[in-house]
Amino acid sequence: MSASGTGVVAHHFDNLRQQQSTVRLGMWLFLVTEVLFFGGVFCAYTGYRVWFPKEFEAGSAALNVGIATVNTFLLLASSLTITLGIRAAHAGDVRGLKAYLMLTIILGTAFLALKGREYQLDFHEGLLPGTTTLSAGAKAHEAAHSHGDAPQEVVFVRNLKVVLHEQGYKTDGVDLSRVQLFFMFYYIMTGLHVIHMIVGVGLLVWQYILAMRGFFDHSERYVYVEVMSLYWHFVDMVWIFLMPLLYLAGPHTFAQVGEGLKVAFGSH
Amino acid sequence: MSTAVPTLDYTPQSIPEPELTPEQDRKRVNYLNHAYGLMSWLLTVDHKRIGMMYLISVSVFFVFGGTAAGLVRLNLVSPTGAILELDQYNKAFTAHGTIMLFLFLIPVIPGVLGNFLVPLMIGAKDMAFPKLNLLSYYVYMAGALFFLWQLIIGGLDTGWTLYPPYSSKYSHTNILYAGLGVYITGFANILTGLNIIATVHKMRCPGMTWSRLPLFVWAMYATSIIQLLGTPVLAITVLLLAIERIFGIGIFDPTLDGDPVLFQHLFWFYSHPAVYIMILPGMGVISEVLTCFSRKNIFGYKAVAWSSVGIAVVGFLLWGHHMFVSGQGYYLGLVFSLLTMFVAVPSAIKVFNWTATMYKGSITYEAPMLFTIGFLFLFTIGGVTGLHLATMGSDIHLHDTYFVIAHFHFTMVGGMILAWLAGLHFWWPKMTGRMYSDFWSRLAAVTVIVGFFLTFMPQFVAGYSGLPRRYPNYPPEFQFWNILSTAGASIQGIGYVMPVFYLTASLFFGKRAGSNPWRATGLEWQIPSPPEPHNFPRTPTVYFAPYEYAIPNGLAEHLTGNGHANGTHKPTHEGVASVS
Amino acid sequence: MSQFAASIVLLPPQASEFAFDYDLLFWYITAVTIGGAMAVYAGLTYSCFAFARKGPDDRTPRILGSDKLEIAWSVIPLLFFLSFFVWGVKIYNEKLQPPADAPEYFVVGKQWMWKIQHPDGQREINELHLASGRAVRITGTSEDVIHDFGIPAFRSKFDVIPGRYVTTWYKPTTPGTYHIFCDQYCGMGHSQMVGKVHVMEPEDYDAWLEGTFPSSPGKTIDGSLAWEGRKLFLKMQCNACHNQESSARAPQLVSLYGNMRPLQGGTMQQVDENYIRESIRKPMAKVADGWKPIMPAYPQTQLGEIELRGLVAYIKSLKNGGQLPTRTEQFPAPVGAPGAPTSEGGLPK
Repeated sequence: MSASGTGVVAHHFDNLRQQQSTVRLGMWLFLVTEVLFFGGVFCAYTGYRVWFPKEFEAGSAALNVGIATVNTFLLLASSLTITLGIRAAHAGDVRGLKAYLMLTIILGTAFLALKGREYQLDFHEGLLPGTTTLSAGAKAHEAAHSHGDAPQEVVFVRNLKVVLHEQGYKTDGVDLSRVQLFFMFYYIMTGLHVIHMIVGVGLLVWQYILAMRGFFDHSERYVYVEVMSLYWHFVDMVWIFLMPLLYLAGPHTFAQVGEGLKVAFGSH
Repeated sequence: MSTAVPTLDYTPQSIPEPELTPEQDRKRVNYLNHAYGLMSWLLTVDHKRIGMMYLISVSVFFVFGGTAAGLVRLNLVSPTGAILELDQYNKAFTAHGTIMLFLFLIPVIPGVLGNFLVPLMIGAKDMAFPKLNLLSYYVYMAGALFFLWQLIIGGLDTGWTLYPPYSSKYSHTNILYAGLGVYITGFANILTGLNIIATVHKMRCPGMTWSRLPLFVWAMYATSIIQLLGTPVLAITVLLLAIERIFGIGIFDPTLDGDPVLFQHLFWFYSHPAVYIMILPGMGVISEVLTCFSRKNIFGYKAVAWSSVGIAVVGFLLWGHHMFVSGQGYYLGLVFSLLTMFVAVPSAIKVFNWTATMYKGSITYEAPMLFTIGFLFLFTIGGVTGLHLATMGSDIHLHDTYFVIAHFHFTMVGGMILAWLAGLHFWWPKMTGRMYSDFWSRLAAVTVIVGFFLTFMPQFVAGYSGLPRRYPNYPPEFQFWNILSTAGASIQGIGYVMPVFYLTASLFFGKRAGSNPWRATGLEWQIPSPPEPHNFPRTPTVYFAPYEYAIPNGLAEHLTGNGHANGTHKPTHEGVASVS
Repeated sequence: MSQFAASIVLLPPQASEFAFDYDLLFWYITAVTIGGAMAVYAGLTYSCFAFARKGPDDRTPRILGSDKLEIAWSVIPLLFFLSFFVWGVKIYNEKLQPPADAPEYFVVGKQWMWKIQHPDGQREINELHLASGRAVRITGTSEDVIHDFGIPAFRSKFDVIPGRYVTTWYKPTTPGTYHIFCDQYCGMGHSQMVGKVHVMEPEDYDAWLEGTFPSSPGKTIDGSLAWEGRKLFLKMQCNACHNQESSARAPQLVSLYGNMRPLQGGTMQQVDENYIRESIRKPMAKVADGWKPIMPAYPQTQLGEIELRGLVAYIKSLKNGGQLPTRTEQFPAPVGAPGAPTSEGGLPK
């Protein structure tokens, strides 16, 4: 199937193969920059985790590992669906491509929805560094346990104590106000990841629209789905590193996964 | 492909297009006149037009940065500060540093000469991603204009190095938005670097192997690697600083168990390779100009090419040499100092190879060559004084004094800006199709070199005696050196303003240049000036390595089959030592 | 004109042992690098003249390179650079090993001043008095942003970082006054954060410590013996009789020390440490001529030896002038407190 007459090859390329190979290289180069970008904050996180291991483990215990587990599987599945999409595009199966793109979009959106729910829970539990709002749980706890004396710690620590207490986590020997540092990294790293996910979903929607308009009727254009999948796999890879670093510091159990899911889908 | 090859006293890399008569030249469609109107420029994807847009932008920003420098130097005429208040001075030197580094030095050669020449030098029709190229320009302009706006409405007084806790907790200036401006221009650099790497890998014409690439392309390639790998770390550093400043949670704040030295590590991880982003393209230009004006092949092509890559790679491992007195730790300092000694070697190799290139050459002294010789003279001083700073014990006394300022101005201005001017003057006829005044350009070169030397040489003395950086007021015994320095700065300034006049005049009154006024060997010189929109009428084929100035008629003989008969001319084999 | 010329600095003074070692390294690097640069310039200049184009038919040889030369001019410079590195590490190590018995001075940088504390408690602002020939250890920190405590004459500087202690040391050699600079940009007052280090002969330094160094008449150094004495002077109500307003009840103590005074009975007495001590312990022994013997005695139980020493030191410090504290003053402001309204306080000069 000759490509030159159909507008598939851009004017500055000599042939299709050159164009496809260049597009792939371009995406790999971009991903290299993203590795360095995330790498910087991962290095900073690692430095602090080495200096304050107990505090970071305490922070990790306060996170919802149930939502994180489900999210991990959602992302892994979405990487599979987009890869199947490449195959469809290569074979000229536009219906199949659209289906796989849509599946990937749905899985990605589900991830984002769960992440949003997780942030909502974190906010509800008052786990924001520097917060001045006492959480409902902390208010109840202090009403029940205080003896009329003014609390000594910052609001964040009081909120955190309630969350850890529910888990049965022992907090002796831990400087709880330092856990704010952990949460700072948590929000920065997951926040950057969420932004990249949103961009990724946006690009997938755009490719879906292109598919509806017949852009992928030329099967040579599968390379664009391929580079989309490269980006998507990268975002997945970041999560695969990020999730254990943040959520699995210190001891964790399968039961906590269940607990986390109950909290996520329970009535709040 | 058997076009008649003219008799030349050198050998170009590919078959030159036939020279046009002035009548044909005037009527010809080139990239400047094939479409008129503002939108044809603003929506162009032609790498040559984008390069010219960069030229206008960087020149304007250079004027801003230079004005800030003028304010700084004028103020330093008096030990108690001649014209500025303390905080105004702090804003002035910060503006000078940030504008010159982020808005001028980093984008200038990649944006102007890189964009214009890399596709031409490798025989391509355009860059790998032309639309991305245009986007890159707009992102650069958006970031730059936003940044300048922030400087105007609020100023920035942290120095370009932005160290916390001052920048995170104590400064009252516009750090957030200024940081955002820097962040945005960083994106533009990344995209340009990405484009150049992809172009060099994928868009070379037939016969253009890696060992036939002009050294400017090697230099741009090495620069792009650094841009790709280093700039994202600046992005995350600025982001973390911004978060710290907004939310006040101590990543870098020691009162909240953070570490201010961590910022320095993250910052210098980018900012040290950044200086190689600035100098490597300049070194590429020097290789091109020196060979052409000495009419000689480069001495040690492989050494010069690989030294660019070597500098790019090793340059990532040195950042701590900015932090010897910061309390970073003894063994860490040892490692950084040792590795810095290693990175000095490739730079030295280049200087030796260039000097050897001139040996037994046939040298003429037009403006590009004068700038190049000035580079060799001044960059050498800058390079060797780096050794004083790389040596751990020696750095203790010199850290944060005028010695450091003199060192980096010798490399960045005496080195990089002279190389930029050399390149601008060398390729001006190709980009515009016009020649400029020989007399005024030579005078400008001498003025800049003399003015620069007078400006910065006294600063070594002042720095060794302990005059600290960033001081609007200083003890009176340093006044003599400061006055000398300011006098030199005014001379330098005149030298920078002169090209604005004679280069602009050349556009209207300059002689038409023809395709190859300098008789150079690169692919870009084998097509008419200015080039046509798609660069080459047909895809060129490369038969020779670059810089074959010593082989007369090599192409003709090669194509007619006579080349191989003569044992000393084996154009398809490169390298191998043969010192005559 | 010669005064102007004299004020141009060419080389920094060498005021510490380390400065001498440092300068050897610095000039070694400078010599080698100038040598290398000159070799390049020689080649450059020679080529520019010898190989200027001679005519349009000028031809050049096709020289591609020389592996031998490449190796030579890679390895030889590298060896020199490594020699810089090794010597530099040696110098750096010197800076890391303070002598075990060096007393520790404490420096705190804050926007925009240096607060310095001597090991025995004396405090200074933007000044550092040291004795020549005696090694000292300096430990520094910052109260706010990163500063840097730099003394060019000692070839020393180190960043002071909030939340951390950093230590260095020096052994001053040459008496004189040298600059202290802040060497890390810290905001608006960065260039105002300068001071002076005074290296003194050991005897002068001891006198200064005591508070009796003649350079600042009547101004006691905060925390010094004389300062302690002045506090006691007020606490023990000496100024009830010995005060600035009238000398009806008791002799003037300002400009007293070191002079000869007549005693009752006709003899002349040299006012020295022993006389003052005796006058406090047993005032009846030697009464000054012209005053009634009404001064009470202060035995050991009321005034310990160290406190007595402080009073003596205080009176000694008044020998070149000054003012006795006023009756209503309760607590003398420390020397150097900005805007201190005391008659004797204020910034040290």
